[in-house]
Amino acid sequence: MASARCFNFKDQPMNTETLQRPVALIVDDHDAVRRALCDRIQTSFQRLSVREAGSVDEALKIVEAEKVDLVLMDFRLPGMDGVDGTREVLARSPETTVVMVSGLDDFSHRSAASKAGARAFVSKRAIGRELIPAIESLAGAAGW
Amino acid sequence: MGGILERFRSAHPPALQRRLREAIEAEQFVLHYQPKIDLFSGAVCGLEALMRWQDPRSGLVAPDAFIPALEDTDLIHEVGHWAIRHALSQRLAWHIAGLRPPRVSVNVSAIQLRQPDFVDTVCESLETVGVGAPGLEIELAESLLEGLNGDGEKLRAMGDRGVNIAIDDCGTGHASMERLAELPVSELKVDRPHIAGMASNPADMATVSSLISLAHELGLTVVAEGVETEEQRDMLRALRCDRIQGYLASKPLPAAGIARLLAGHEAPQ
Repeated sequence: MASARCFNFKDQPMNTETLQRPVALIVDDHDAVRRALCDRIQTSFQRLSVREAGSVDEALKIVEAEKVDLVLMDFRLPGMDGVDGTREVLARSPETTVVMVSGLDDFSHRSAASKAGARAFVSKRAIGRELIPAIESLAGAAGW
Repeated sequence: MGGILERFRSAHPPALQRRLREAIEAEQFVLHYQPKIDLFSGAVCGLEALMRWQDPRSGLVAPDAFIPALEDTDLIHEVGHWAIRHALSQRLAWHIAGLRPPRVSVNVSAIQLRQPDFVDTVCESLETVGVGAPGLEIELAESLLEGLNGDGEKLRAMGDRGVNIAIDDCGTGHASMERLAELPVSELKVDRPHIAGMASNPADMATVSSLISLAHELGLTVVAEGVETEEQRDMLRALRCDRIQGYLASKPLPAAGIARLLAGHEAPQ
């Protein structure tokens, strides 16, 4: 397992080094999945500073506190779901790139994610092979 | 049926049930995973999720000490559903980490299976977590096969969707060929007392041997439970048993230990 550092919302360090690096925020309510995503993103994109949140509410607090370049948003979340969460993130930070990550993969889910402003949709069943290439292509376009 | 009667029969003190309710809220339940090892290739070909209660007062509590108390109340449904979701999430996490996790199996009791929405909750968990049905196996005790009645339909519905069904603790005689053949069972697990007695007791040896033959005639995979010695392993190999589970191969491990095992840093014996 990768030993990348992932910072919990409650103890995110706000030093100048992390402020200068592009920030990725992982939003998923399952601890094991969230941590695995953090590790995978940190290992694949070492220039990113990674944050994590278990709900949209937690995620929005982070987005309001600092510039977030990339959000991996779980579709199904307790409370506000990932579709409304994407809208809320983009309302606060239009420059942020949102990637929707979903256990369910059909036209209605992809369409809802797209309409909310997500730039990519990754099915959890294919996450092992699709996530990193999807983020790589978005990173090039966004310049981070 | 019998919900009120079961409550009257409750043998567990309200204090324990209250503590278990608090344990759910405080997220004190954890899953450990015991590998099933292919007897011939040595590969990890299954992971059985086993529940533990991380009690702040007593430390790590084994399921025998609290599952019966959960079954006396409706809490078993909540905790049982949590266990399925959590095991699937963990399997997805191993997958995200670049590992190749085999299917995870979760024990299901008769009380859980009796719930009218049992199949729907399992399928909903698969969909929302994002794990394909073949990634999950439901383990049912052999004794549950008697009196299955309408719940056999639920097993067939899950089998149709691709969920694997294993029959656990086999050796008591409930798993007749006729009963097994009409259910979508893919795996039969031989109960540990028969494995423990195999070397010294001809009756246990006969039971193990006939269960392996029965399973193979039906095209099922056989897992021997509680394998602790190399002698037992060698005898099972000679009987053409498919897989073993037990301390000889690996004790139940927390998720991080399984990740190391799957990454090849720690090989099963």
